[in-house]
Amino acid sequence: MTTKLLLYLNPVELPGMLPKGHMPVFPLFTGVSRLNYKPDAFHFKCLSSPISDILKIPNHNKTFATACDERAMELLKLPGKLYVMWSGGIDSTVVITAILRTWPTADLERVTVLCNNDSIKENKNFFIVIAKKFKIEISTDKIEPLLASGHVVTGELGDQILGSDVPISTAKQGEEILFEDYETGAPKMYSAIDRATALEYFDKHRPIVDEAPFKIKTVFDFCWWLNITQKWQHVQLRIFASKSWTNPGKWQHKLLHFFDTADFQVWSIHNHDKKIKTSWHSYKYIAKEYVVDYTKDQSFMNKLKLPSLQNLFISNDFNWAIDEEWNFLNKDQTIERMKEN
Amino acid sequence: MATDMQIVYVDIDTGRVARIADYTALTCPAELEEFSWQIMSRKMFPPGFEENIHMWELKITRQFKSAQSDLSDDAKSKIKLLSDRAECLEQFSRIVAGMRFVRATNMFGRVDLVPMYRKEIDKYKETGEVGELLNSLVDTADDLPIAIAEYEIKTGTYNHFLLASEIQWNKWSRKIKLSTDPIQTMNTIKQSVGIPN
Repeated sequence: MTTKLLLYLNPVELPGMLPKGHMPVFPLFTGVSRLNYKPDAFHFKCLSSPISDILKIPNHNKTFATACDERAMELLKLPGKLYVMWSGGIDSTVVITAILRTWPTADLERVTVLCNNDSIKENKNFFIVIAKKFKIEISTDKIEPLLASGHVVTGELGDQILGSDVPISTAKQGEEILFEDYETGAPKMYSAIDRATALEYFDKHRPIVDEAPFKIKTVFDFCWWLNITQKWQHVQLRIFASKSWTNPGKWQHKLLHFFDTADFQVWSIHNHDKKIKTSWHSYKYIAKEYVVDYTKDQSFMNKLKLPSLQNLFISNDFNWAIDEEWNFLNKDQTIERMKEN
Repeated sequence: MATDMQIVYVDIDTGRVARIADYTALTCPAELEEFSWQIMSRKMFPPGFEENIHMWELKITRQFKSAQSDLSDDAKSKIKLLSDRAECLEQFSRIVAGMRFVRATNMFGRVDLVPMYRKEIDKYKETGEVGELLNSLVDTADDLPIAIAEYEIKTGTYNHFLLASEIQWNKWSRKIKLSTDPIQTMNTIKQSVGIPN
């Protein structure tokens, strides 16, 4: 019996066969629904808990800060070295802040921060904080050697917990689209990505709102719900796109995404009002406040996402897909398996 | 607008001029086994040359000679494919060289001074002595460890980029040279490095 696919990974080449209702834009066709309603273009095996299970968990009433601190304390229990991938962005800065807030000084020696020049450019003030406390190494897509000697932690899934940056990256008429009724705003937003398929894509995905824990009203609400219910698995696994991986099955359990916990998802569901205020500028304000509370550097509250030149030429090559046994598939195997599904 | 300096490719098999292209900044002439090339001023072209370049031979002495017969259709289609490959290699060389130039200038100003910084950093770590370049990075000596950490990450980032661009160049230039549809191959490259077609 053939194994099930977990994810299509190649951001450069499209699989060339998309069912109606999907955009030929990576990664929009790689969704893996965690809902009962499944608008998935392909039937990938879902690794994460169904959202219905998350919704059954009682509200823990923890603040974002408490959830971060507790997660860092969990990481403290891990043996050996800890490598933290720091992009300079808000999410990975939260990860390092959580460690700084909670770990005993002696344990900080176990931590190595992985970054590059763009991380420093994006967040110079925090680099100074890092340089005083941690060993620093250049970031790399060759992660397996690091996993052989410790655990690697990323800031991935912060976007899914805290909202989505899709609306602003597509907004041509300003950020007011964030707060527009999703029924009219979302199609406009998707038109900016691919006019030809935008309406079909929206129609296909609109029913996800029926399983939301509260009434989805705005484009921001819709994008967050789509992000946490459909894009979760892509973000969990996209790190395996790099061709540098040789044996992901051996090491994947040592690769940890800081926000990949039920606690953060419960927080996200019960604290929707704490993701954004009334402007794009305030997106992730709760995460920024968490960092500023430690660094006292108020300039971080003005931080916005920056584009990165480093993305160009960043990867040597890409894997096509990964299956449930953590094997990579070549192009022909991938296309064949996607057809079977 | 066409530049004065031109790359003139000659098909080694037939001796005919196969392709002419503007020799612009950052363009590296394509290295194809089947073509030789020379850089020359447009002023050296004989009258009527650009109307049908395949009707001319170019000698190693940089002299043009008018050919007596037209090329066969097979030779023309072979030269067309090779010419497409050459064009794509030129384009790709400009993309890679352009990215390297921007990256180097943006990060260092003068990238050739990097070894001198390195030397001063090593000396500082060994003896505590602060060289002129290193000293210029900080206002107070207390900031030196952070400035050094930043410089090391910067050079590491640059080296990674150089390595990645070299790998991409090796891989994709080989693919272009072997491709029967080099323009499609070039479009895939552009997509992979984020450059619109």
